[in-house]
Amino acid sequence: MRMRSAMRLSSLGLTLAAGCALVGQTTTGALAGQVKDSSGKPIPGAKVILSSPALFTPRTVLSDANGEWRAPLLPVGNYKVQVFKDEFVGSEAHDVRVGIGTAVRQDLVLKPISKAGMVVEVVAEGAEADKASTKTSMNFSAEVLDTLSGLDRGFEGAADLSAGVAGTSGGGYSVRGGATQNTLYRINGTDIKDDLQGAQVGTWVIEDNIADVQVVLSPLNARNGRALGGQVNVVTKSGGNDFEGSIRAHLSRPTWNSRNPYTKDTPHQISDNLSRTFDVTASGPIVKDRIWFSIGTILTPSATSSNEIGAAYPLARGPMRTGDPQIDAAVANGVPSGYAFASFLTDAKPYTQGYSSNYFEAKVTGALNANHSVDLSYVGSGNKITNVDPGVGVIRVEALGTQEEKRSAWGLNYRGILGEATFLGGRVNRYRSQAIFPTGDPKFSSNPVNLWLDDIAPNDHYWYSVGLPFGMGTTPRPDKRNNTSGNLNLKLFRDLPGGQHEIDFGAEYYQADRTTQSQIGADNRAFRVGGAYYNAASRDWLFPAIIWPYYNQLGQSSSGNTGLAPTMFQYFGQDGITKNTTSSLYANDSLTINNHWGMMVGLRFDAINVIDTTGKTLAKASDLSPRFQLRWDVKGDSHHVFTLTAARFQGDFTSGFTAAFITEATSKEVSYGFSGIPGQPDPYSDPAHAVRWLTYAQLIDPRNYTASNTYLSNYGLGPTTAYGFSDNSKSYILDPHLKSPYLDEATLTYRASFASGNYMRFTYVSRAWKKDWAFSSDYTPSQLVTISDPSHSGLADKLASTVHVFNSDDLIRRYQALEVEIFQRITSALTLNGTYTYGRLTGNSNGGDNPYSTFRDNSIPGYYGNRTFLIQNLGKTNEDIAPTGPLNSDQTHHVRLNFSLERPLDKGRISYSALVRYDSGNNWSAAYAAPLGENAGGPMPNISNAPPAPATYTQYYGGRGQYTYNDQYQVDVKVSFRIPLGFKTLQLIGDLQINNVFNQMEQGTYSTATASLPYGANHLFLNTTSSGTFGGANPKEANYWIAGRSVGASLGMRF
Amino acid sequence: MAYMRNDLGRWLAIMALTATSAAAQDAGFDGAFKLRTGYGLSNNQEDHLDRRTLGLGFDFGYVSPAGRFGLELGYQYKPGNQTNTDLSAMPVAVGATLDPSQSVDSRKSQVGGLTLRASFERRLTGSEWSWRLGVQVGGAKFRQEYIGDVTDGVRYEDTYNGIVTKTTVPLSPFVGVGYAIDARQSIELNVISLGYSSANYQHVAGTVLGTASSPELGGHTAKDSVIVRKRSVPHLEFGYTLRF
Repeated sequence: MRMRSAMRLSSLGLTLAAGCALVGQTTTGALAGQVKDSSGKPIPGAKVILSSPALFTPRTVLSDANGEWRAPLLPVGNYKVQVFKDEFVGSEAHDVRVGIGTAVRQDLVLKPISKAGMVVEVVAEGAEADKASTKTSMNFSAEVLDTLSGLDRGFEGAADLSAGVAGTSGGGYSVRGGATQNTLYRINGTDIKDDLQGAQVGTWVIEDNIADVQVVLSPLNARNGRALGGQVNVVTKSGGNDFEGSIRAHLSRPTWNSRNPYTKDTPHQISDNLSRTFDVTASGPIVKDRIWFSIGTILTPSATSSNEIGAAYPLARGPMRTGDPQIDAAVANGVPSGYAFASFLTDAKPYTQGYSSNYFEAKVTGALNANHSVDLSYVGSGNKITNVDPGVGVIRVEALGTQEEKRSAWGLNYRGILGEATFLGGRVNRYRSQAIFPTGDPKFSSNPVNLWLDDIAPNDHYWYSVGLPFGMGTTPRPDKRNNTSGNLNLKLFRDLPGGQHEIDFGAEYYQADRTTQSQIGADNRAFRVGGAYYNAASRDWLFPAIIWPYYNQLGQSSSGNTGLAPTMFQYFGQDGITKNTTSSLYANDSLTINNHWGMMVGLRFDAINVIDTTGKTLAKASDLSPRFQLRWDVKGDSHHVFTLTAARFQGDFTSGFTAAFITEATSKEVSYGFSGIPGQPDPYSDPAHAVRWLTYAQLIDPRNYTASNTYLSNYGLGPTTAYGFSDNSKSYILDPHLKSPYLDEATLTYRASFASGNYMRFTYVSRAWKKDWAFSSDYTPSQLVTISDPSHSGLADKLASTVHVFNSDDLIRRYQALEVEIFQRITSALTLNGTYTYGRLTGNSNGGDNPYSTFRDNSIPGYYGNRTFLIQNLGKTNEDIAPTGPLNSDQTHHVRLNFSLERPLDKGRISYSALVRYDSGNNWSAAYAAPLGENAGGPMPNISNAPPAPATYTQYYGGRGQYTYNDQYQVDVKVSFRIPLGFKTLQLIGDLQINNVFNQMEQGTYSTATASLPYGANHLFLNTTSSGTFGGANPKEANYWIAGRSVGASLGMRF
Repeated sequence: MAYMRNDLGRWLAIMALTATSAAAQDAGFDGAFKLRTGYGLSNNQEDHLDRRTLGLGFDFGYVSPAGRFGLELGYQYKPGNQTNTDLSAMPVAVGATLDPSQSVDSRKSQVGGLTLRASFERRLTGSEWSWRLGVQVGGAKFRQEYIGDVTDGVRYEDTYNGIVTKTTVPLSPFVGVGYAIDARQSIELNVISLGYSSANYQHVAGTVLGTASSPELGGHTAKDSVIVRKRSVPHLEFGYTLRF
């Protein structure tokens, strides 16, 4: 019996079209289908063979009594599906794409062999997304990514192209209205989101080594936790039985790009070097059909840039003055020989900054036997920057230093077939991130010294810090942000009452560790002094000083923060490690009732926990999150499917949230005044008024702050020079029932599928976040706490404000949207894939929307910022201080239309694509820090030692988010090619990408600055001075302008 | 005139001929999804609106021997960019002056909303081309954001901000042609006269005056107004249709 192959049906387009369901996995997908005869009758016992370069050996499954077959836990790749049954002509489908988490359905029809024995060619129906879907997502295969225009071929590029995703003016992506900090990012199953900053930081992919990218909009299956936002998952290639590899150079140059007003204004800051990086990949068998490998690296030439130092800081004309002419004269006239005042003038000092980076990834995939496989993956990168100014006020070139960052992601994944309908999957993952920051001039870095210097006006006692020029003020300990996670999932397919069940049982664990990095210097001490004098010959420094009781008497500062007398700030505590854990159990049942109806129910239990640096458990909670889905296939042919979902998604305690109230090494602080160096006389008997010139060693010697001089008692002072303290360890009061916020979601989807993989999807989404975290700070007696002197020096107790942290019923965040997704072949070569999202994100709190902020603040200023004080005492209303309206991440229209034209070139191809991008501007509010008039600065009535009242509050004028920035629009084009070179499999590869080809210089944002206000007035004043910029674009600010046309190219070889 | 009548006669004859031979479409109900973009053929500077429009819609129709009658529920949007208005044109209270160097008045407008389109489309005999005409209702909610701070630098400083909207239900007729790519896809090119009413907030500067030694800080007063203008702006539209 001869069997002829069915007509090939390429399903490559489905790489973008299988945006339907997920089986809740982050590295594999699934295939399923039904075998029928031409009358539609199911054929049981048919042999279905799945083969793919991604499989060690073909997988064979049999169709059941209903003709159904299924194959979960399939590696990402293109598959050939063949089906055979005696008495029938075989059928097959080629290039069926399985992406991350996709569930693809490939039904096959068998025709009986004719009695005449003629071979009958059977055409297989195209593969479609399995209607038994439990998630909404979009997948992008490597082949599709290679042709798409856009941001990049990784996390950002995929997220930007997806429906339901909005870019925000603060950076990052908001998925279906979720806070940007809640979007998860995974590489080969390892969570690489920085749990502190809530963003994906660093390089994690080589674009040529990506196998698939998935953007998950709603993680419906109960397997998914920590799900207050969406997910972007990437899986790298695993290798295969054939050796393959590539080398590609990425090229770009500033002069290739057009210039917007910002870049035109700052040409000297733009280096015109040709930027080039080289991606190198290789993969193949270690043992054929048994062990494969894939490796890759990014080679980036080191670079340097010329910078200037000191230009940002105002002039310092002299040391701090006391106002006492004799003391000031003693300083001015008593400068030791060879030394001169260091003014740190603004004639900028040049220096060269160096950059170097490295990147490496590797994966080994092995088949333990035909039914069990494992893969071990690793991604690691490092950056090094020499001569870094970390922005803490370095004004001496010697104080610059080297910053190093290292990141890595390890993953061990297991897939096992335990039986015909029983599957086991598991993974263990580790993410490591470490940054080491410079500690300043090695001669002075044991303890940082902060200079407070005087202003230019002769009778002016203004002072300001010129930063930390001698030490960085940061601990030399690495800043570590790590996580470890694991999952074990048992999947069962069973025919039970109700229909065919796909059941998942599983357990999951996630732990984020963060090493705090707050300790100051070697001894947790910092110093402040009123001047620095330099000897150019010996390259040494001296610091003028008087003893502390002297300046107290002179009334320079009641708090002792300024003055010529140095201050020592002693902090109490040690850095340590905090742990945020999530332990979960779940069960999920996806049920196919019949050809028309299906449903899914799931339940997930999460237990979350925060452990402080001291080992104490700060917060603990547990919650259940149910999931539900109902599917109706109108005709039973997967062509018109309605899906209704209702789910609750639970979050977790992120490091970014708990960073506010964990114990830091600098939580407690005591200030000490300088008591003099040994032998220093009573200043009133000293003609030089006890002005001394201290070396660095004397300045930072804590013994010189211990009131050892006996004459202190002559002034009613002592026995300590401690004059002030703070204790932030009591600042945060956590609700004992603190939980994670949760999200309730409902969606209604209609998906219409057509021949050749074309489809349209329309989804209405409604989301509401509940029990969001509130940080309530109020000027009321109930929010005060008594704090005591940590040094037990005898300083009186005092009151301090507190912040109450709790889950609020009054913080609102709601999202409603209509999503449209289209995939359509316009002609055989030209395709359109597009998304349109009309969304509205409203609420009264913007918490979590700045992806680069480490503090997930919900309400300051805002709903809970001095709320009681403002409403009860001052008669303010919600509309004044926290109105409900469009939030910062609201983006009404998000359109992405990509046209792709592909032309085959022998065994290669040339692709042309054009991407139209349209985004509404984000929202902003007419809000201003309005003064509180007569209440400003005053103490709390009837409470002595109470902290001063707030001086301002944020007043909203006309509601929240009523104003919008300009819409943005651009067209990107790309030409990519693979040209066979006629020698074995060698191909020339490359692309040319032009973003914003029409050079649409949109003013994306513009100045909404408000001017300072006359005291007592309470109106919204815009920046109307002669240099007013309200409504205008500031040419010195890059982020006001959408980038003009930019060009990038790549060229390489592939075998 | 005779020439025109002859020409008109020829046009009518063509229409009659095409009317007698129905397009090769299956009779019955159908549905489609449409994406549309438009470009204003005139630049209505006064409203500071962009020339572009975006739109989408769900079109349900009935195909008869005479042609296709369609009803589309959609959404249309025409954005605008932020503009600092010309302060020299701002009315000023009697006895007051305005210092433009210390004043700013910022506006941003847009118009759009839900639309309902009724259309008739007829395919030309033996061709993939068709002609179409119809009328759109709605999509005309005009919204202006305004925020200002105007002063003479001496006696007054008016601050004002808010949103004005004007919703009308104008009729926007359109005619056009279409081309069927295949049984499911088609493109269309229309000329539409987009109707809406603009609303422009008008502040009168210096409406609260004090003295040089005791300046008053002002705000909105009864002298402020909203100026409404009816508009009808021709647009060229390009649309893409996908049938269910």
